[in-house]
Amino acid sequence: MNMKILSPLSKPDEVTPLVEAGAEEFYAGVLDTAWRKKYTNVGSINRREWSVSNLESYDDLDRVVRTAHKLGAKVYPPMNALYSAHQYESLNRNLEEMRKIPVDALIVADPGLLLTLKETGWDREIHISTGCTTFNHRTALFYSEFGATRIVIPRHQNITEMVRLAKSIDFMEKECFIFNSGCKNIDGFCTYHHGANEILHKGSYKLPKKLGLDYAFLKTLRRLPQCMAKKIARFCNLKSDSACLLNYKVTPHILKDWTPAQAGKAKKWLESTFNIYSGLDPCGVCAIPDLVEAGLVSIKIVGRENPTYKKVMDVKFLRRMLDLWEKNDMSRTEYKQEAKKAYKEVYDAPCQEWCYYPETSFERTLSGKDR
Amino acid sequence: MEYAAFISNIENIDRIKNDGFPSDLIPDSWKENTLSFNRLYFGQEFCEKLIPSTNDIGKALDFAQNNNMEFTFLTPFVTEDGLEKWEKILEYMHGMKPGAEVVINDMGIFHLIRERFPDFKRVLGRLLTKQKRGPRILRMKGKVPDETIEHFQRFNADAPKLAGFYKNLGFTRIELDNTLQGISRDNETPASLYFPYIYVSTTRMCLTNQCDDRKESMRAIFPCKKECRQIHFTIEHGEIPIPVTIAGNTQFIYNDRLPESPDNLHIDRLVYEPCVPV
Repeated sequence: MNMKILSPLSKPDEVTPLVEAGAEEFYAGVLDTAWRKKYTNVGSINRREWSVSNLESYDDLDRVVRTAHKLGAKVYPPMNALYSAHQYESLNRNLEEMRKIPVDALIVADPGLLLTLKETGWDREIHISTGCTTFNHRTALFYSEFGATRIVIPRHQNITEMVRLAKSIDFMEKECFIFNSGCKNIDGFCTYHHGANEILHKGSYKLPKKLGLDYAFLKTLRRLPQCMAKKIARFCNLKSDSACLLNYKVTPHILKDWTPAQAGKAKKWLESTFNIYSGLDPCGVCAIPDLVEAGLVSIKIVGRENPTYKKVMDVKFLRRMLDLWEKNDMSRTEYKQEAKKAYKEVYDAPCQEWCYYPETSFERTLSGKDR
Repeated sequence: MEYAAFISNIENIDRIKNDGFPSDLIPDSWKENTLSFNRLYFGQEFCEKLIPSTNDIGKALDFAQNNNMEFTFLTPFVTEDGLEKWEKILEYMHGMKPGAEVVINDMGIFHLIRERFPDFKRVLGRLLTKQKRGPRILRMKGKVPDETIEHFQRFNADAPKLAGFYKNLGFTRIELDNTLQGISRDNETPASLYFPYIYVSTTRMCLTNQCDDRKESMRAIFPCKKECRQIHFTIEHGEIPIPVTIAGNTQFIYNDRLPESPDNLHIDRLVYEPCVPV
C-alpha cells in the first residue's frame, strides 16, 4: 500500500487545491456556535482550540466531505478532546450531526467517547488520536479493543523508536506526523490551556492569526541568518498563545554538585529554547524511507490554522518527496541530498535541520541496505 | 483521611520522616486521626529512564515497613524499550510485595499488569485522569462562561460512562492534582489529591538532559545523565500568572491551598510531595 499524505483543512474551498497538490486524506474539525457559547474555543470539541483552525458548521463539513469524495480523497474529522460529564449532552448532539455526514473515520482521544461509539453502533472507522499517547504496542492493543483501526503515533520519538513501535503494531494501521508544529511538550500529556489569547487578547490576537501574519513572521525569521533570527525571536516580546513558545526568564536552582558556570550554560541553553523561533516548523521528509519501510500508511501535516497557500505548498513538497523515493531507484544518501535541495527551492530558505525525527541517518539503514 | 508522602528519588527519603509532616499547610477540615504519614508513595510517573534500582525499591519498602506505612508504587508512560525495562521492575515488585498498590500512567502498563500481574491493586495515575492544569485559567475566570470553568474543574475520568469502565477494569482509585481552578466531582470513586506540586506538562525532548552541553535550540532525545537530580529551573513570563518549575522532563506549578472539604470531593487520601517528584 502506498503511503498517503494527510492534510489539514479549515475551509471547504481548500479541498480542490489540496487534492490537486497531492493530498489523499484530510482532517478537519468543526467548532460550532452552540458548543463555543458554552465552552468557548478554549474548551474546544477537538484538539485545535483556535477558531481559525476549525470549520464553523456541519454544513461546511458536509461540503468538504462531498467534494473530497468526488475527487477520491477521504476525510477524518477529529473529535479528540477530553470530555467532562456535563459535556456529553452537547457531545451527543455533535455526534448525531457527524453521523449524517459520510465521513470516513473519526479521530478520537477520549475512551468515554470510544465507549459511546461502540454502544451506539458507529459504522465508520475510528482512528486513535495522538492524544492517546500510544508509545508502546500494548497501548495500541488496549485501543484496538474498542474497534479502532488506526493509531496516530505520537511525536517525540526518534526514528529508531518510531520504527520499532510501528513494526510492533502489525494489527492496526499506523500514521505519524511529518511536518509543522514544533511543540516541545507531548500533545496528549500537555495540560496547558490553548486558545486563551482569543479570550484574553481578543482582536489583537485573532486578527493576525486570521490574516496568516504569524506564519508570515515565522517565514521571515526562517530567511534571516540564524543568529539574527534567534535574537529577534528572543527579544521580541510576542504574546504567543502556546506556553512553550513564550520567552521566559529562566532561573536555575542547583540541587547538588553542579558549578555556577555549568548552571549558567544550562540557563542560556534553556532560554534559547523558549521563544517563537523554537516553534519553527519541523520537517520529517528525510525520514520518509524509514517510515515507508516501517509500514506507516499515512503521514500527517500539522497546521489546520495555516493559510491555504502554506497548506498547498506543504502538500506539494511532500508529494514530490514521496514520489521521489517511491518511484525512483535511488539510495538514501541521494534521496537526502535531493530532499535538502527541494526544501530550499520550495521554502526559499535552507533546511536548518529542524527535524521531526532527528536521528535519521543515511549511513545507517534499518534493513542494512542503502535502499 | 490517609496521609501519604511521595518521593521518586530514594535520596529524599529523609525528607518524609514524621517531623516533616506539613501540619501548617493542612486546614483543619482535612485533619483526622494522627497527623503523621501512613503511606509511602515511591516510583516514577514521567520518565521511563528514571527507573528505581531494585536496591532503591528495597530501601523504600523497608522504610515503609519500619514506619508502619502502607506502600504504593508509581509507574510512568513508556516506549517499547521502557515497557521491557519496567516489566522487569514490576516482576521484582511482584516478588517483593504481591498485591501491592500500583499507580498506572500508561494504558500499555495497564495491559501488561492485567495480563501478568492481575493481583496488583490498580490506581489511575494523574497522567490518565486528564485534568486540565494550566495556570492561565486564573486569568480566564470572569471572562468565560460558568460552564467553561465548571468543565475545567471536572475531567473525563469522572464522566459516568468512563468512570464505570475504569471501575470494571479494576481501577479502585484515581489520582488528582490540586488544580488552581478547583475541583468538582459527582463520581464517588475514591481519589487521592497530590499537593503542593501540580504537574502541567511533560516531554521526551527533556530540556534538562545535557543542558550544560548543548548547542543552542538543538532538539532531540539525548542519552540521559540524570541532570534532573542536580539542577531544576524556574521559568517566568508575564503571560503566565505564576512561576513554573522545570524538573527533568516535566513542568510543575505550586499550589498549597487545599479545597475546603475533602469529603464533598470523595478525596480520602492526601499525597504530600516534599519536593518535586522527579
